[in-house]
Amino acid sequence: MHNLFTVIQFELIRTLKKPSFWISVLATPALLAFIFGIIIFSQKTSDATQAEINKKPFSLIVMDETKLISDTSIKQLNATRADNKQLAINKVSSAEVDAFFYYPKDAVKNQIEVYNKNDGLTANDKYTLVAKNLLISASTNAIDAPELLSIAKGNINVNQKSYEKGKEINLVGSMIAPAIFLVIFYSVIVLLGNQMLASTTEEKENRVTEMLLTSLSSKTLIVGKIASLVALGFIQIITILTPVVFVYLFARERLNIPDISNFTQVITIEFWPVFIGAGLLVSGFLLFTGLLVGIGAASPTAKEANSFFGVIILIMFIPFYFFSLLMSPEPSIVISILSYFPLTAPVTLMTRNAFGTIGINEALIGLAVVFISGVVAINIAIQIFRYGTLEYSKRLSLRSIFKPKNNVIKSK
Amino acid sequence: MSNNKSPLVSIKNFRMDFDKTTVIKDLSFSVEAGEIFGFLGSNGCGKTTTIRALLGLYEPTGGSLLINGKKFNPRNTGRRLGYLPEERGLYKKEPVIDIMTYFGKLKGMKSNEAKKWSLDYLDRVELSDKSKIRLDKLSGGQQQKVQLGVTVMNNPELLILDEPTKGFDPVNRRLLMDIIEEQNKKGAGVIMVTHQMEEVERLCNRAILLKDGKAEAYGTIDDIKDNFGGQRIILRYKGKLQSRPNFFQIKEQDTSYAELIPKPNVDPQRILRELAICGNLQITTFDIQKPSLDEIFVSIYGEEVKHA
Repeated sequence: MHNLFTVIQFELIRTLKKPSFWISVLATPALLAFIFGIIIFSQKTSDATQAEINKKPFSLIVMDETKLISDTSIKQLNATRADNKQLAINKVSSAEVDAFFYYPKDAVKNQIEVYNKNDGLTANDKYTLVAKNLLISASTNAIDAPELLSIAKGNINVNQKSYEKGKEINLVGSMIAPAIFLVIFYSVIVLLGNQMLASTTEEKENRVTEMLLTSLSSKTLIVGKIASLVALGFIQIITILTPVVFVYLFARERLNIPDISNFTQVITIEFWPVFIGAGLLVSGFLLFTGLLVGIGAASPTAKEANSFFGVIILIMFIPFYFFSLLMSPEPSIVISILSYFPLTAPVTLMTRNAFGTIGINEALIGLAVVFISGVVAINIAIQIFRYGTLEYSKRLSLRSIFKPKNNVIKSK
Repeated sequence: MSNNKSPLVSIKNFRMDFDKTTVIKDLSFSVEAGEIFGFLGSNGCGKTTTIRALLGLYEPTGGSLLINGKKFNPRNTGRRLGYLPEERGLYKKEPVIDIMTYFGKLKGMKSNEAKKWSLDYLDRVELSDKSKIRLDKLSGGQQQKVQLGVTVMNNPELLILDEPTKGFDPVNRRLLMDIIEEQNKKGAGVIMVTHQMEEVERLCNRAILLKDGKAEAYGTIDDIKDNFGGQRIILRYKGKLQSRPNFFQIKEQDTSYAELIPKPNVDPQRILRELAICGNLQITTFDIQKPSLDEIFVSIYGEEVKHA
């Protein structure tokens, strides 16, 4: 394609020079970092305050009808035992003591009663916490065998294995790789969708099409624009991921970020799900790019083209309204329709592919539908651009787009 | 791009239909290398359609449209083409130098070469200090200068200018004319699509007048004037001018001046002889004039323009 590299270079460099591009790229991670920063800071402050409160000793009376709480435990808390419940409550209400815990005979059926002076909404929780822990600790101490004690404390490891058609499968692990394609597809369309729409309206609004089309074909221009959009997508992803990787590598422990090195060992990579996922990503990208570029070329202004963006996103994510059906191994009629209707097929098929609820044959047919639709969409977009951008301030009718002979469009 | 055997532009039996409407019926003309050619017609008569078909933007319904004997192709013929379309503009939000370099590269120039050419041109049109400024920050006149620069990059062999003076201020109109003449002197063939007759008369060697999808007149400017517009006689006299309906029609007259329109097939010399034998008329001057292109244009399109 003559002049393709020149177009890609021009489109790429001029976008990278725009501050608005970097603002849009960095806005999302910056906003997320800001929100997480606030959450972590508040959590730390709150934890520190809570710890400070919990450390503060308080005077306590305990009345234990379960007979499980030992004197040692009572002594450790600097508490005293009570015989008269009402008297103990009165001592709390008259501020003689800070708290009174009443443990009824059957603590499983009956409620533990906690009476305390008011220390504020969050600080009051410490009394309930101490009351519960005191009984749990007393109960587990009653178990003689250390093994039973460990089980009672929930220290249990489980190793689960699932089988399908006589083969062991790792359901969660095998979901991860195909699901990544869905995440990439979603991110690319959301991040680049507006640029796809606006990429051809600029030529139209600025009346620059005729001069361009005497130096290159409309196909070269559209392919060049799409290639530059793909490159911009990679740059966006790298820009977003680079600080995340740096933070993980160099500040993971300081920020208490979980270690994911074990997690990567869980991922299972299988040929067909990955092949179908990658194919759907590429074909879906082609389809939606063609659609968005075509809408851009048919609309007289970028503003008008942008009004279609929400509609496209809505159509694209309709499958998520049927999320529970997508997880079912037996597809319903609705899911079958969504799987083969070009605009809903990419997300439907990618989700089913991730959940493993689609057979290879069905997935390949769906992939073929999306791929063919993508190629057709790109060609129609080129056709619309070729004719539509010469119509300048007019909006194209569907008739004029699909009757190229009458409109003397020349496909190149 | 050059091919000595073929005219620079050759259009034969060109027909163009849009749905059921025929815009061009049967159009044939050629443009030779190194000439300035006027492509004339009223609004909507199909001039821009013809140019777009010549440049491959429209698929013709019939006929052939060739540049140097070949159908237009951006890869080869496009490199030495300078095209100023009627609907014109550039990337408004990009710096001037980036736009010019981009178009230079599209026309086959190397990046450095295109940049150097652009800076030289901007210097020539007194815009060297604006090279890094966004196009939309320039005045309308300055933007026109940039547009002209982009049009003539890479020494075009063929310049097609569709309504070139449309929207141009007088200073830039002068610059445009200078550039056309300059490019023509360098050997470029020029097609001027216009209805500005004075420009055509001043610059063009040959022209075609398009009406109802056909060539109404075609040839050198003098041929068109001779064949289409006829002649008129400016007469200055003393005495009394008598009407001779068989020989001429008096268009304007006062006591010493008259403008005579000869009847078809009547030679001006015959009129002179007729007037000379009138005893009470003394002829001071007898000047045979051809009509201006503007007058021919009005006579052809007058009714059309009135009804437009």
